[in-house]
Amino acid sequence: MQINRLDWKTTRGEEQYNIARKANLPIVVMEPLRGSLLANLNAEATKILKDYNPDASVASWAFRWLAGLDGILTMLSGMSAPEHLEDNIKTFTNLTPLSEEEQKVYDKAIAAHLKQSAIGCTACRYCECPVGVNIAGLFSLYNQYMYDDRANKNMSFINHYEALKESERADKCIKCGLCKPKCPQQLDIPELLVKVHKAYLEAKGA
Amino acid sequence: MKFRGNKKPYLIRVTAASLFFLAEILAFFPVGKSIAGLLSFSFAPAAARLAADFSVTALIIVAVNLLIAFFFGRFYCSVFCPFGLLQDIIGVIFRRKTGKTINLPYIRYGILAIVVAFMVLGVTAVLRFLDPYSNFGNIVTGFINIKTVSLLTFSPLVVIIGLVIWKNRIFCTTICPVGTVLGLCAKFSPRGLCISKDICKGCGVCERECPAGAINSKEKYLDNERCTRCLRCIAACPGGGIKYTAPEKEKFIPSRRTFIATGVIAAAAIGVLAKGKELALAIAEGLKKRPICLPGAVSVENFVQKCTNCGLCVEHCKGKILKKPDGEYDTVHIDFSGGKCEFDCKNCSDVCPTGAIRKMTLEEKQNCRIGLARFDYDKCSKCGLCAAKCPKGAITHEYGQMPVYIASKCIGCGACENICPVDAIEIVAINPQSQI
Repeated sequence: MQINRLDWKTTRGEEQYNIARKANLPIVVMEPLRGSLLANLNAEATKILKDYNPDASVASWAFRWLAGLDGILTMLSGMSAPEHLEDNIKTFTNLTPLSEEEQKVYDKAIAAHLKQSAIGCTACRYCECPVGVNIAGLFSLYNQYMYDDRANKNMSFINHYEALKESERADKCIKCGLCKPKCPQQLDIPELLVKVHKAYLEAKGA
Repeated sequence: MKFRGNKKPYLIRVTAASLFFLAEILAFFPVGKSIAGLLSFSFAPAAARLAADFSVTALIIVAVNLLIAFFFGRFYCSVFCPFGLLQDIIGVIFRRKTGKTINLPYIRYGILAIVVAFMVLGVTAVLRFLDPYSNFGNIVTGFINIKTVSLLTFSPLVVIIGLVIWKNRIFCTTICPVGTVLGLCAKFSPRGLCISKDICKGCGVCERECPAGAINSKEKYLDNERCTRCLRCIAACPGGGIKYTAPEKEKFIPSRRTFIATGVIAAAAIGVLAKGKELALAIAEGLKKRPICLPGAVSVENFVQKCTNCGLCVEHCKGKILKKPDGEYDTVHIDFSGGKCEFDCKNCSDVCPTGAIRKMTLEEKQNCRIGLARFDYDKCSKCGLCAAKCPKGAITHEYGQMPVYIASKCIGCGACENICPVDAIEIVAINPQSQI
């Protein structure tokens, strides 16, 4: 089941958790870090967490938030670097849930992160666009562009966008809609791709 | 040219060859669809089909060809192979006089080793210029489609004319991988054509007539490995000195040159096995434009690796939507501007001799998605013709409304694009193909 601090509310994770608990099913958690999003919160959110506990990694807060839920058998963490593994070992040795005070700090950080408009794609790539649009890649570029504070952010976005093959770009979406039922985050992908392409055109015009 | 020997075998051979040649040309025309199956007896495509889309038929075809070569010699090359017969016709047109013999075994073994290595990897497209059937098909369909193909399509024809003028059937003895394989079968045969040392007076007529350059009349030696069984030597020999019998066994003494050549050939084959697949995928990546592929092509990558461009599918497409490579596309592709993929037709899959197009039942073909429709609702006139023509019910239409597209039912057959009077629909390629 996809359960984490973000999906608790946005994709009815809490409802699903409750159903599983009522049926007494042991829960295997997928996307505990929401596709690394909860390990890479924006600058404001990260500052809130680091100010409270400078030694704890951002990812550890997400795991410890989950540790507060009963009935979890295991959490699937996609670790792609040795540092991830080491940090996870540190977190899961003597795993303790967040205290009440820590919960409040975490809620504050998450709110600060969600303030910026971003697309909640976890790059799971279940969408499998039949015409070859690089959906996850485009959404990732767009999110990075939204968080970018630098002076050359337009240039950077345009360069990354144009580095994609023409057939992969957002304007090649034919709105067939075959991706929508496949997206676990229930994103309206054709609509969002229009948004991404518009952002590209505006960046070019600027 | 006056033959003074036993002309009967030669005349029978020529008659059989002429009939096969005419049938093989006819197979490329719509009237010849039932004969198109004849072309799937071609050796290299049948071998390719074994790897791509295994069938017992393909196995039998390969086995029968090998056995015929083993027991009787390379009759394939002078009776069935259309490219060989084409060379004979070129030789007659250009009044080819046979010159000195040359034997280049390491070149033909090297080429064969590289071809086999590629085919083991599943990249049968290596046969595009090396397989005689594919070359023949490419030339025939090039002429049929002469208005649309680029001049480059005819470069193999220019090359083969040059080779024939230079040394007659040298393609068959030095380049052709089919000839090399069949030649190896003939080489180890218990019987073959031999020059009788008692009868032969060394007049050299047989050597002069041999298009493969397989006879050394001074040493009274006929090389069964290169002999393409045209039977001109038998027709020419005034004393009847060429007989079908057990040849003298030569002792095979490997020389240093043999070892070195074998080493080089093995290294080349291993190199292909290591890097060949990468190269094939890079070619698929580098295509000028991603084509809409025929139903059964599985994916662009698979198709580019397997299609040898013989063009047989192009000629038998009922909807006339298949096109040979042209300026815009590097492969055989679909062009919906003149028609649609006919719902009840699977001709391309039926005739493809190399297995680049999977064999399918009609039901599988009718559920094979090759593309999806893109609608330009600004142009749409709400006529509803697209919904009426869609064979899958993927478009619904209420009077006066925009049509509703159900992508999950669409197979990209192009019926809608073809019928739309305002050009509001375009079929977009998908990769890989899927079964809905």
